[in-house]
Amino acid sequence: MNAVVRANGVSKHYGKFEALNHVSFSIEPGSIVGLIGPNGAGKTTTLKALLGLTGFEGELNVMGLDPRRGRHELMQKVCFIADVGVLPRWLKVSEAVDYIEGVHPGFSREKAQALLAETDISPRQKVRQLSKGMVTQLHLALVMAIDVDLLVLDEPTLGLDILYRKTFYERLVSDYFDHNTSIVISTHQVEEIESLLTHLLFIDSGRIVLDIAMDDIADQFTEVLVSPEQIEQAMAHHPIHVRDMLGKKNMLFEHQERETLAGLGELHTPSVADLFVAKMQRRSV
Amino acid sequence: MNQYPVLLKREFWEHRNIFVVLPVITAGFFIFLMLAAFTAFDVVGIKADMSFQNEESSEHYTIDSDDMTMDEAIGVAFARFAGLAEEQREQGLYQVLYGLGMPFLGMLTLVIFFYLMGSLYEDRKDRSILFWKSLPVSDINTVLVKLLTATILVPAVYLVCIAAVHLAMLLIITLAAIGHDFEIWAMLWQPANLIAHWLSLIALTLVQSLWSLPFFGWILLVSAYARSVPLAWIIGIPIVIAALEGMLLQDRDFVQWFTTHASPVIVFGRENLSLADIPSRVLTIDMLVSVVIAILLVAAAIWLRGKADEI
Repeated sequence: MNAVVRANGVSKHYGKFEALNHVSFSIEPGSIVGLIGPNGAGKTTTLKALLGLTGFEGELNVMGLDPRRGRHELMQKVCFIADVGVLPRWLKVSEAVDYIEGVHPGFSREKAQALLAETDISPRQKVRQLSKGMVTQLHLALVMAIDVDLLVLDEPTLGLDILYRKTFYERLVSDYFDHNTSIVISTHQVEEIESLLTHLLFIDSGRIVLDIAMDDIADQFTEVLVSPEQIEQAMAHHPIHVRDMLGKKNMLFEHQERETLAGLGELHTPSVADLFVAKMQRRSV
Repeated sequence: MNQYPVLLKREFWEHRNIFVVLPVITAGFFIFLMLAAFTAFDVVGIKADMSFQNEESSEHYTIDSDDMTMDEAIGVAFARFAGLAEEQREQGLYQVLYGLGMPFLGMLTLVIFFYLMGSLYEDRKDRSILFWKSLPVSDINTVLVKLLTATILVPAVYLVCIAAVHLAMLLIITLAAIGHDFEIWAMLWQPANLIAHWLSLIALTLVQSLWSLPFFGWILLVSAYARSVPLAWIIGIPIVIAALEGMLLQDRDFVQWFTTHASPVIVFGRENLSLADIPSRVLTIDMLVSVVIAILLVAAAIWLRGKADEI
C-alpha cells in the first residue's frame, strides 16, 4: 500500500536557525507513530509542514498531495489537534458541531453527539466556560466524529493533569482500534504513549535520530545489567548509553547480537523512555 | 458542498453583539423614546417649539403641556402639518426618516471597520487559526466570506432595524391620530413614501460598499499581515505614503483618493439615490479603478492568509 506520508529531505529555516534539517521518513497506513523529541527539536515544525501550515524545502507527500498547495483539499482526509486551547473561546459547543458539519463532508453529527454525551459538556456552553480538560475532550470528540485517513496530534495533552491524560489516550486507542486511520502523536512525555505506538520517530535539533517500528526495538537494542567485574569487557562492545543502577551498570547496546551480550549479564529490551534518554544524550555529548 | 451558509453563520456567531444586538437595542431604544414622548406628554411637562417655514411665510407655534392636553397638542400639530403643501410634507418626512437612519449608518461604518480589522488578525493572536485551518475551508472562501459579511449581510441587518424604527414612528403617529379627523394615509403614509425611501437606503449602502471596497481590501490585507496593532498599520501606512507624496511629488492625489474612499461619503452625502441610479454610479472610471485596486488588495490578503500562522 502507498505510504500516507512520505517526507524526503524536508528542511525549514527560520532565519539562520535550522528547524528541520533534511528530514526523511514515511508513515504507513494504519500505523500509530510517536514523534518524540525534546522541546524545540522540530516536532511542531514537522507537523505544521505535514499540514500545509508552514512552508519548507524538500519533498513532502501527504495522502498524495503536496501540503503547500491545496491545504483545504488535504484537510478532507487529514485532521489535527494542535496543543490544547486553540478552540476559539467565543464558540458554543453546538455551534462547533454545526460548523464542522457544514464544512466537512466526513463529519458525523450523531457520532459527535454520542461522544459528547459521555462528557459533562453541554451543547449550550461556550468554550470559554470549559476547563482545559473539557476543551480537549470537546476537541477530541469533534475530531473523532470525522472520518479521516490521518490524524495528527501535536502535544494533545499538554497542560492536562494525569487523570485527563490517561483517559485521553484510552479513548484514542478504543476509538481508533481497528480503523485504518494512521495517527501521528508528538509529545515529549514518552512513557504515556509507549503502549499505543506502532512506530517511533525520535527527532532532535531538526534531525531524525531514530526511525523504528516498535516490534523491531527488541532486535535492534538490548539492555544489559552488567556487574562491576564485567564492566570493562562490556565496554568493549561500545554501549550507546551507560547508567548506574544499584551498584551495577545498565548498558544499552545497538546492533549487537544477543548471544554475544548474554554472557555479560541480565538482558532486557529497553523501554522507549530509556531509548529516548540514550539517543538524546548521545547527541548532546 | 456549499460551505457558505455555515461560514456566514460563523461570522454572526462570533460577532452577534455588534452585528445584531447593537442595532436591535438601538432600534428598541428609539421606539421606546417615541412611545415615551406621547405617553409621558401629560405626566412630564413638555414644551415644544414648532416652526413651519416656506418662502411666503414663517409660522411659529409653541406646544406646551401646561396649557393643553396631549390630544389638543396632537390636534394642533396635525392641523399645521396637514396645512403644508404636499411637497413640503414629503421633504419634511424625508428629513425625519433620513435622520432616524443616520445613527444606524454611523454605527454600521464603525462596526464594519473594526470587524474587518480583527477578522484575519484575532484568530492568529488567540491561536484559534490552528483550529480553523484544520478544516477543509479554502483561504479564498475564508476571506471572501468576511468581505461578503461586511458589504452585504451586516448592512442588511442595520437597514432592517432602520426600517423597523421608521414603521414604528409612523404607526405611533397613526395611533395618536385616532379620534382626530385626519386623513392619515394621505397626510402621512403617502408622502413618507416608505418603500421608495428604503430602496434608496439600499442603493446608498450598496454604492457605499462598492465605493469603500479598496479601503475594505486594505483593512483585510493589514488584518492578514500585522503581527500587532493593526490599527496603527491601517492608518500609519497611508500617512507615510501621503507624506512621501507631498514631499517628492508635491501633490495630494493619493491622500484625497484614500480619504474619500475611507470615509462614508455616499451614505452621509444626503443624496437621494434610487436603485435605478446604481448603474450610472457604478460605471464610472473612478469606481472601476477602485474595484480593480480592491481586487488586488483582497487577493494579497488571501495569499497572506494562506501563509498565516499563529503569532
